[in-house]
Amino acid sequence: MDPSFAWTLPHAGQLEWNVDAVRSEFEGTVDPELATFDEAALVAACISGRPGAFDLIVERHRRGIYRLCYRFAGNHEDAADLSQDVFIRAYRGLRSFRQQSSLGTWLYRIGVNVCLNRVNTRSLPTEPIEKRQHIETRDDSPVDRVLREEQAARVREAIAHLPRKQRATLILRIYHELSHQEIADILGSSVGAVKANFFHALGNLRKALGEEAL
Amino acid sequence: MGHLSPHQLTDCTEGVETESVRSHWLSCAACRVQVEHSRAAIAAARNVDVPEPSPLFWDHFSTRVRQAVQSEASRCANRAWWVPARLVWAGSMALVLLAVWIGFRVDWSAERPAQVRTLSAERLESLGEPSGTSDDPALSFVADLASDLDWDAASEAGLTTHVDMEDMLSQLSDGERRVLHELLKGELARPRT
Repeated sequence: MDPSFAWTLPHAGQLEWNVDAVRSEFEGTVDPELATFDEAALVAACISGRPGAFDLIVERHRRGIYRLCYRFAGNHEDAADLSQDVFIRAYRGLRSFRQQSSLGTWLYRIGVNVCLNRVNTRSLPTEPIEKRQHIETRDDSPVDRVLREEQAARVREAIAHLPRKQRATLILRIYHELSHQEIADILGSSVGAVKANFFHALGNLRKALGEEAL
Repeated sequence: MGHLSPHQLTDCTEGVETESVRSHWLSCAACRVQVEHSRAAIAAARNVDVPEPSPLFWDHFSTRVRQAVQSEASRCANRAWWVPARLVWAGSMALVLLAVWIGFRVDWSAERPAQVRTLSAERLESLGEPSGTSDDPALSFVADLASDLDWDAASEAGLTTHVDMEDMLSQLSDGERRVLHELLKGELARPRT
């Protein structure tokens, strides 16, 4: 079916209305049956080349992956690039996914590796408030918003300077609320090592922010 | 009980510690401070949101990923047809190299017996020459010494070469065969010690 169609409405008056309807690029490309598939079936559908199967995986996990990448990158453009890279790598490696963990955990593992390999902490770009392509969801006063953003920038800076595994552990635990076991699976560590990393990450974060910031 | 380990302090921070651990950190000021500081750091970190992109971003994002995946898929399809061709080419080259190597080995081993036969005939000539008949006093001296030299001693001294005996014998002249016959008779007749 064509993505767009047009027709002309005859009008009683002198004017004729031309109506163009443009169908969203995403709408209609996903097979409705795919929406009922569980993870294993969806992965199998992707591997067999069924159209729309990987699109559905992207749709289900894009927000979580983007937020993960944003936590590492600190800005929208890099987060978008990193997220795209994560899904391309996932597509390439789908045949090797053994389903020993959930698909989300597997995607997070790819995401953490991509981010740790690509993000340079020494040159973490800070994103000016006015450049952010986001929707404000709070009813703060402008002063409160600026203060909040300044504090957030300090926290991001402090997290960006944590050692790699501490940074990954803190991000996955605090912002994505993964269990210690899931984090251990992603990082290839033990639960004890994850807990120790988390403790030291919090200690370093506190030192970086200082007493008054907390 | 000493101070809590980082593992235990994390459990306390998250409220999942064991009874014995809890009783310690409630009574130990140093550990209690550690837990309180960790909780404050978590609270500060949680206040940092990820700005939500506009809805258009998600549609564009999905489109970008789909296009990248489609180009990836077509790249894999292009690679699929020429990978077997490359394997066939590599296999053919390997066979050619193997044939060249085998041919080289055959040629080289074909040359070697001729050298051995030549060497053997020369060696036998020098051994079969009666002592005292050579004009060269050095050769006469060596011939005298060699006449008492048995095969084992000569082999240990590196004076022998690995030869095909039947091939060598077929190359001997009548005179050489007579000399060899005499030498062997003498050797066999010698008592064993």
